[in-house]
Amino acid sequence: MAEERETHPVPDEAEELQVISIRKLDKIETTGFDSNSHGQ
Amino acid sequence: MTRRHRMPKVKPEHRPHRLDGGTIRIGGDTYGIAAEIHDPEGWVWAALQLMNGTHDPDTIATLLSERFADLPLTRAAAVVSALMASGYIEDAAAANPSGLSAREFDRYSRSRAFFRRVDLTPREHDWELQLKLKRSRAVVLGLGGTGSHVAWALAAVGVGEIHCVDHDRIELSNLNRQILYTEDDIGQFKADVAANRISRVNSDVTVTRSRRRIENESDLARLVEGYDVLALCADEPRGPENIKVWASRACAAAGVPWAGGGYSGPVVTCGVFAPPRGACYECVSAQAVAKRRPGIEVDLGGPGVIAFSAGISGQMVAQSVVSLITGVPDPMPGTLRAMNLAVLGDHDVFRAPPRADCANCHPLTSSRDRS
Repeated sequence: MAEERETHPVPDEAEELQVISIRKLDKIETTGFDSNSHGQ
Repeated sequence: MTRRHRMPKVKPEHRPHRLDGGTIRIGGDTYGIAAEIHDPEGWVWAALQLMNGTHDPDTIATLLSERFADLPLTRAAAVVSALMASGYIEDAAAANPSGLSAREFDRYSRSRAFFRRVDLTPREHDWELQLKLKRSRAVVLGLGGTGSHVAWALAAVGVGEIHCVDHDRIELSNLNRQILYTEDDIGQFKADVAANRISRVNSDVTVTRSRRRIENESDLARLVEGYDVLALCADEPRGPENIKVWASRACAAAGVPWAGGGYSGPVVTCGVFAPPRGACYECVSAQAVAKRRPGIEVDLGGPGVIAFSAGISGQMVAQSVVSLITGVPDPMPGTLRAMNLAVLGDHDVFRAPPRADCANCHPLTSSRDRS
C-alpha cells in the first residue's frame, strides 16, 4: 500500500497553482519556424 | 523556491501577445519555450504590462489589486509571484556580475541573449550561464573533422579552459572539413595549430595542447582527471575495445560527463553520457545495435566526409558540451542523436535504460573487474 503523505507547500506556491496556469505548448501546436530568422 | 526579482521585466525574447478569448501566448512559437496562459479576467495581461522594469513586485501587485475589484491583494501578489517563477521574466535591476570583464560582456552579448531565450530558469542575473562556462575546463580529444569545430566553438562561447589533444599532423585532404587549418599549416601538428588558432579566436580563454596519442583506457583516465567535461572526437582505435568504450569507462569512473560525435557517410551522430544520470555509452550503444536486423553491416567505412557533415557533427558535440556545463537545455544524458543528411528531415533520437549489470551505470553493485 502506498504511503500517504501530507504536503505543505509554502503559501505563495500554493497560491500560484490556483491563480495562474502556464501551459507549455505541445510540439504539434508550434510551427517550428520563425520568419524573423537571420544569420548575422 | 520562487526567486524574487527587484524590478521584474518581461524578457524581450519572450514578449507576450493576446489571442482570442483572453489567452496569452508568451515565448513566441518555439517548442520547448512557448506557452499559453488562460486569462479571462485580464489579470495576467495587466501584470505583464506592468512588468516593464520600472516597478517592484509589491507595487505591481498593489496596482493590479486597485485596478481589478475582484482581485484581492494576496491573489495579485500570487499572480506576480507565479510569473516571476515562470522563466519569462528577468530582473531589470540586476547588476552585471563580477567575474566577467567589460570586453567579455561585449563579446558574449549575443550568447547572453540566446541563453535568455532558451533558459526558463529564473536567475539572479542573465550572465549566470556565461559564468558557468568561464569557470569550466574541457578536454577536446581529436582535432579533425569533428574536433576542430568543437574546439573552435568552445573557444567562441567562452569555456574557460580548453585542452586540445591530437597526435596527428595536418594534411591537404583535411582541408575540405577541418575548420582550424589552412594550406600554410600542412605538415604541422594539429594540436599546435588548433591551440594557437582558437587562442586568437578568444584570448580570454586558457588553451593548452598535447600531441599525445591515447593508447588505452588508463591514458584516457589520466587525460580527463581534473576536467569538467570531455569532448570525444577521436575515432581510433576501433573494434570491440574502441576509444568510445575507453571514454565510457574512464569518464564513468572519474565522474566526468562527456559528449562524442562523428559521421558515417551522410549520417552524423552525437551522444551524451553522464552516468548515473542516464545510461552510459556502452548500454545505449548495445541496445541500439540490438534493434538492427542481425547480419547487417553498418560501418561501411570509407573516407566520405565533407565540410558540413563534419561541421554539424562538431557543433552537435559542442552544443552537448555546453548543455552538460550549463544544464541548458537539458542535455539528456544517455542519448544518441543522429541526422541523416541523405534525406531532408530524417533526424533520430535514441535513449535506452542502463543495463542491470553495467559497472558504469551501477558502480556500487556491479562486480565487473576492470583491473
